[in-house]
Parts: sequence; C-alpha cells; structure tokens
Amino acid sequence: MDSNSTEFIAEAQEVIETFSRSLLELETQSRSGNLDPDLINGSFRAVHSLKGLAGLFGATSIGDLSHALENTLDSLRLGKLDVTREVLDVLFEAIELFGVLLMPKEGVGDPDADLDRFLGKLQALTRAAEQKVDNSESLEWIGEAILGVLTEYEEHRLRENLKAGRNLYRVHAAFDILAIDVGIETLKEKLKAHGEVITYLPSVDGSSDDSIELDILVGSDIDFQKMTEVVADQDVTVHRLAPPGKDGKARPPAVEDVHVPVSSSEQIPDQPEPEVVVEEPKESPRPSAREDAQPSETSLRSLSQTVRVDLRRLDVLMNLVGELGLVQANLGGVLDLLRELEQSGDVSRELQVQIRDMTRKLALLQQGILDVRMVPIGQVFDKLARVVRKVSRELDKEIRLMISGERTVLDKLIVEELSDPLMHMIRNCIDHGIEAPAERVSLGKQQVGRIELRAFPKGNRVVIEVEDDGRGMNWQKIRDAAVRRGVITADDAASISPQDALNLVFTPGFSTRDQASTVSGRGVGMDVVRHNIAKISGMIDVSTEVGRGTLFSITLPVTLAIIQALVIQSAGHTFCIPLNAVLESIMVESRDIGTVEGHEVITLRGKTLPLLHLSRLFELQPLSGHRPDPNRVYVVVVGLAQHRVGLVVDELLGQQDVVIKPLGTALRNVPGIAGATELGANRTVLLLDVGRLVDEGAHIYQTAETNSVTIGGALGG
Amino acid sequence: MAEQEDLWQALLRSGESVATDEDYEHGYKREVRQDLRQYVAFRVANELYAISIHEIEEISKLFDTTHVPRTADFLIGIGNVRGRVMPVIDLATRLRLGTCERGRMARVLIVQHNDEPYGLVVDEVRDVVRIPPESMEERPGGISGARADYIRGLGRHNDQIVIVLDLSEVLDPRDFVVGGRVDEGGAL
Repeated sequence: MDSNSTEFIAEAQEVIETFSRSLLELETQSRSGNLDPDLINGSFRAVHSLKGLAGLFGATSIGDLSHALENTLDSLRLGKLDVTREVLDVLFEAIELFGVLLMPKEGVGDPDADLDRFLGKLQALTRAAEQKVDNSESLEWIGEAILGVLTEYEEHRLRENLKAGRNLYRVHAAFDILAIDVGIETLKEKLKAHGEVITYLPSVDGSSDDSIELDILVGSDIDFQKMTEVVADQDVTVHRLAPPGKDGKARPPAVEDVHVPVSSSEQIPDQPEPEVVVEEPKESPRPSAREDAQPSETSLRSLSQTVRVDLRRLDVLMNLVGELGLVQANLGGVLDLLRELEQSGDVSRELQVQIRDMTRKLALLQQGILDVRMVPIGQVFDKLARVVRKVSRELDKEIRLMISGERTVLDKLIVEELSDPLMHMIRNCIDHGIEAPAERVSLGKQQVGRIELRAFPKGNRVVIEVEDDGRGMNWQKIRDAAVRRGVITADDAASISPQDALNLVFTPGFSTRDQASTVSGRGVGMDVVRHNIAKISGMIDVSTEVGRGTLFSITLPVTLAIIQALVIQSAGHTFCIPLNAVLESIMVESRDIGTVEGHEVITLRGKTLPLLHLSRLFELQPLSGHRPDPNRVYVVVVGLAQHRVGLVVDELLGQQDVVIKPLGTALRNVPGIAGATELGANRTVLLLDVGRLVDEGAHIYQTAETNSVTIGGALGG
Repeated sequence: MAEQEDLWQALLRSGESVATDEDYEHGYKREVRQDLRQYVAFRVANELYAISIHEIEEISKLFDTTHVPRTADFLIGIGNVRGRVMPVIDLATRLRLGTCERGRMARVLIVQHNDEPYGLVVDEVRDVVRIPPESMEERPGGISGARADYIRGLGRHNDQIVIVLDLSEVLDPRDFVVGGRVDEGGAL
C-alpha cells in the first residue's frame, strides 16, 4: 500500500468498529427477538463504505471481503437470511479477518488462505438464503404507482410490517423548501416513535417554488385516529392504505392521490438487483471488487461528523497554551513593575483587568483542547465484548458481560494504553475466575457466569472496575504459590497479611497455574497489567471473596497531557511530583525519624512508612545558596498501586498545573524521571516517576529487611 | 569583498550548488559539481570536527539547562528552546577531550536526529565547508580507541583534517542513562 495507508487503516478501523458495535447490539437484540431493521442497515452501510474505501486505496482483499459481506448483509436486511447465532458467528469472524488483513503480521498465518476459506463460508450462507425467498402475497392493492418505485428492501420492509399485522399509512406532507431538512427530521421522529418509516416518495403534485411535498409510507400499530393526532400539523394529511375488504372502515386505496414524478428515476433501483446476490458467487469463488451501482452512491460519505486529528497536533496546541500561560505569568510581572511607577494607577488597573480576563479565557482554551482529547471508554469496552465472546467459546464457558458507564470519557492516550491491561484482566477472569458451567451448577450458582465492566468518574479521576462472580482468590494459596516460586521467603510468608498476599499476584513471574494455558497464565500476567497501569499514573487494587468472586478496581487520572503537580525542592534542585500520586505532605521533626536496620522510617498513624531521600537517591550536588533546616524536613507521602513511601524533600513550593513534555528517546528511560515541564521564566523542571521511585523504595527495603516484620507490613499498607 | 563573502555564504546555506574557487581554477569547462557535501565545521578542544549541514537545524548561543540525575557525565542537562525540550551534550566530554570551555565563542549546535532535537555544545563554530566524497577517508586509520566509534570519516579542507562525526553513534540512546537501574519492568 502507498503512503496513504495509515489514513486508510485509521478510517477503515473506524468503520469496522462501527460494524462491530452494530453486530454486538444485533446479537443482544436477536436474543430478545426484537430486531431493529436500522441496525442491519447500519452494518450494511458500514461495510458498503468500507468497500468504497478499499476501492479508493486499492486494498483488494479488503474490498473482496467487504463485497462478499455486503451481499450477506443484504440478504439479512431483505429477510432472506435470518439473524441466527451461526450467521453472527460468521460475521464476527469477518471482523477478526478485517483486522488481520488491515495489519498483516509478518510470518504469521496466511491471510489470503484465511480470506478464501472465509469467502467460501459466506457463500454457503448466501446460497442458503436464495432458497428462502418468499414473496407470495400480492401487494397489488397498494397500487403500481407506489409499488413501482419501492426498492427491494423497502418492499421487504413493507411485507414485514403487514406480516406483523401493522396498519399502513401514507402521510402526505408539505415542507418549506428552506427548512425541509428540519421539517422532515421532526416528522420522522414523530412517526418513528409509533412505527416504521418504510420510504419517502416525492410528489410533484402541488409542489410550488417554495415548498416541497412528500409522501411518507409508514407502518404502525396505532389506528387512524391516533396517527392523525400524532402528526397533527396543518401541512400533513394522513391516508390509510389497506387491502380491499380487510377493513370496512378504511378508505379505498388512495392511489389517485399519488403522483410519482417521472423525472425521479434515480429512485428506481437498477433492475434486476437480486442478480448481484445470485449470480456472482456461482461464477467465481472470489467476487471481484468491481463497483456495482448497488445500492446508492451517497454512502461513500463519512458515517460521522468528525475530523480525525493526530494526537501530536493536539500536543502542539497544548504546548502553545502552556507557553501562553508563561506569557501571562510574565505579564503579571510587568504589572508589578508598572505599579511601582508613579501615576500609573489607571493603566495598571486596566492591565490587571485585561490579564484577569486573559487568564479566564486561557483556562477555557486549555479545557477545550483537553476535551478534544477525550474519548468514551466504550471504544475499549466494545473490543472487550468481542474478547469475552471469543475466549468464552474457546474455554466452553458461558459468560454474560454487563457493561456500564461506557460513556465515561478519558484521554485518548489513556484509553489506548488501557485496552491491553483490561483484555488481560478479562481473560484472567474467564480462565481463572469463572468456573466451568457444570461446576457452577453444582455450587448452586447460575450456570452463566457474570462479568461486570464498569466505568465511572470519581472526583477528578475515573474508576474502572472488573468484577466477576467466579471462584474468588484464596490468599493462602497465593502465598504458598509465591513461596514455591521464590517470590517471597517462607519467613515472609509466615507473617504476611491477607491483603499483602493478594497483592503478590502483581509480582513479576507469579502465576498460580502450573501449566500455561493458551488463554492466560504465561507467567506474564498481572505484573504487566500493574506496570502498564502505573505507566499511565493509575492504581490497581484487588478485593476478593472465596467462592463469591473478585473485584479489580483501576483508578486513573482523566488526562496525562496536563496534570496537577506538587513543586518541591531538594538540595536546591526543583522537581514536580504528579499530585495524583501524592497522598499527603507533612512536616517532620528530625527527632521523629527512626531507623529500622539502618533505614529511616517514620510512624504515620500507627503505620511504619519507609523514607527515601530524594537528594541521596539522585545523588544531587547541592546548588549554591542551599541551606536546609537541620531540625525538620518535609515528607511527601506518595503511593501508586499498593505501595507507599515518604519522599524526603527540603521545600514544598506549591501546586501548579503543568504541561508534560516527553524527554525524547535518549532520556526516556532515566529511572525515576517521567518527563519535563516548564515553570515560568523558561525554567525546565523534571517530573518524577513516582511509580518507579516507590518500586525502588520497596526494593531497597525488601532486600535489606528480609526478616523484618514491621517493614513488610508497612509496605503493603 | 565582505559583501561578496556574505552572498557566497548565503548561497552555500541555501543548498544551491555554486561554483567554488576550486572549480574556477580548473577553468570554466569544468562543470559545477553536484556531489559536494556541505558540512558545518567546529572546534572541540584542538581538533576540527564537522557535521553534515542537513543534520543541523540551528546554531544557538549557550542557554540554561536543567541537570538530569542518573545520566552520563557528557549530558549537561535538558534545555528548552522555544518550547522544545532537548538533551544538551558536552561534545568534548563525549569525545573524551576534557570539557568544553563554554567561553564567549562556545555555541550549541541544535541537531535533528531521528526526528528529535539535541543540543551539542562545542568550543567554536568555524565555517561551512564542502568536501568532495573522494577526499573523504571512510575508515579512519590514525584514530584509535573509543573515539573512532563516533567518526564517520576524515575529510580535508584547506589542508586541515576535518573529522566528520557519526551522530547515530554520538547520540546513541543506550549511553545516556547510568545508575539506578533495577530492571526494565519496574520490578518490586
């Protein structure tokens, strides 16, 4: 593919996501037996535009696949094929296949062979569909004028409506030419609430220069009287269409009222449409990607009103806003200078007003850019729903996934980083958590396992919870497994608390399964999850009840682009600490610092807190003019994931919103440093990587205190 | 004359191919060479070094930097040029030639490497030189030890040896971080 391929991939992925969402919903609806025809239509349109895209970019295999898929979906929406589990399975498989075709992995599988095999499957489905065409009942009573312009799909919907025993109405409406889109939309909403809009028929009759008249064909359960009330409007008249002799009260079919303009021939589908479905698959196993005129050409347009923006461009904007913030701070300095001058009263007051106004607008601008970065977490949840579906099949377990809070928004970067950890957690849930169906029944549980995926905002953070009703985790077993794998010593194990034992699942190399399954348990597991979540400044906690289930809870900041930071000083060097990792900051008298086997600790609310001197950890050379108070120090209590340590610093300089800048390839891996930011006057300040420092602290104390009961307990608190 | 000199410099900088004195010496028949490579020559300690002009984005006076702990001694710190944060390197330290004087003539070469900016502190920026490929010695023989790794080749300009640096070696990210390393996974 050419240089446009990233553009193509991004756009194709978006369309495939839409398709996938429709399928998931379709599956839910098919269980309840109440299918919304718009959903199948939506899938059809998505695949159709994908076909168009593939054609534009010369992606032949994707074009072939969408073309074949389009035929299958067409059969679905025309009712030739029922929405069954088998059909859905095949459609979901198509999504996986799209993924493989979009980004083939070197040396893994053979996408072309997969495609051929899959196209064969689709063909089998479509062939089965051909045999089930049933257009027995005559619709002649509706009148040739209407029937003649219905597309195959519209006719199918009309039959479906009649089959369901609904009444058929022809709603005649006149719209002001200037407000026609609004007018139609309003009327459509009204009608949709009570039935299904089958088609719109243009009418030349009476159309004047400044109005357009339309006939709308509606199928509905409500009676004529009610329908008239629903659309009560001076420009709308309702006619009921009914087969002769079926309803005595009904008017005869008002065929003479309908005038179909000859000029609107584009409404008439290219006949014979069904041939596309019937003929092609017989001719060749791989239908060519040629563009046929079906069904309309408008669907090449984007499905949504959105602009795709590279996150880096938003970062540039964010940086600019950050710099404007600095300019604004400098203006404050100018204001102070001005005030010292004599007779500057009016001018400085005016400047102050303007600066205040600018500050406010700047905050709005910053918020605006942040909002653009925000996407609903639902994007990831949709992917997870597919994972649940797939993994539960593989393991022969029945799972019901319950999703809530999918509209909760998070920074796009965070959402991207979340999908892998969440996928891992879900796999673990299904593999280790949820019992086999037979076992569940014998335990008196419902046969179908339940996994709940929740997202909700909490203060300025977002919490994501994954909860299952499986077997729960036994902390003694975890402890024993950890000893067997040498993660902790037998001595540690003797004194470990249940919560600390549970937290051992986040240790590298830990796995309770002795044999790795294909699904999870490869030894890289929850430690990777924890690490990835710490990377986006998140915390993960676990709580469990044996026999009842497990709850993992992830707490995340809403964004990483701008964070609130605590500005501190150590040995004269200034650093920022992300405020979301700071639990509290306290002043400590030197005499309150104790030592446990050579390491400094303080006791904070009955718990022992290990201390880390930032200046020693970083071997900072004291800058000139730096004179710390020997009697007291400041301790910033920080924690990420499960551990807490106290960072000893010389000064707390206050809180500030800071724009984070990456340090680049060369310095990305400096342990303990997460990035840089500007703090006025072109001063660059480093941002601490708290997760890393906490890990180091825990490491120092654990290696030094293998048999210390006090510290072992305090670390987990 | 001074004006002409400026014009010539400007032409050089614009990347256009211009005839040099050398070209004229050989008479007008000789075609203007298209393959002369342009380098920015600068002094570090007592040696003349050069970097391809395409790799240099800007030449700046010294600016403030912030010390970054746990990094190699050649990293002075990070600096901020118009909102862009970049590592700033003492090239003398990097090349094991002592430290740069950071005097009145010292400059920071802002280079672009793998789409990221870096600052290189040098003692003095000399000139833009053009070195024909054939007078470049690909395998430096005379220089041994660690420094040889950083050298792409040796060129001659006005009877002076110019050492052309290999930025991908000078800026090898593996050399920046030292100490405090436990392991990559952030282990407990």
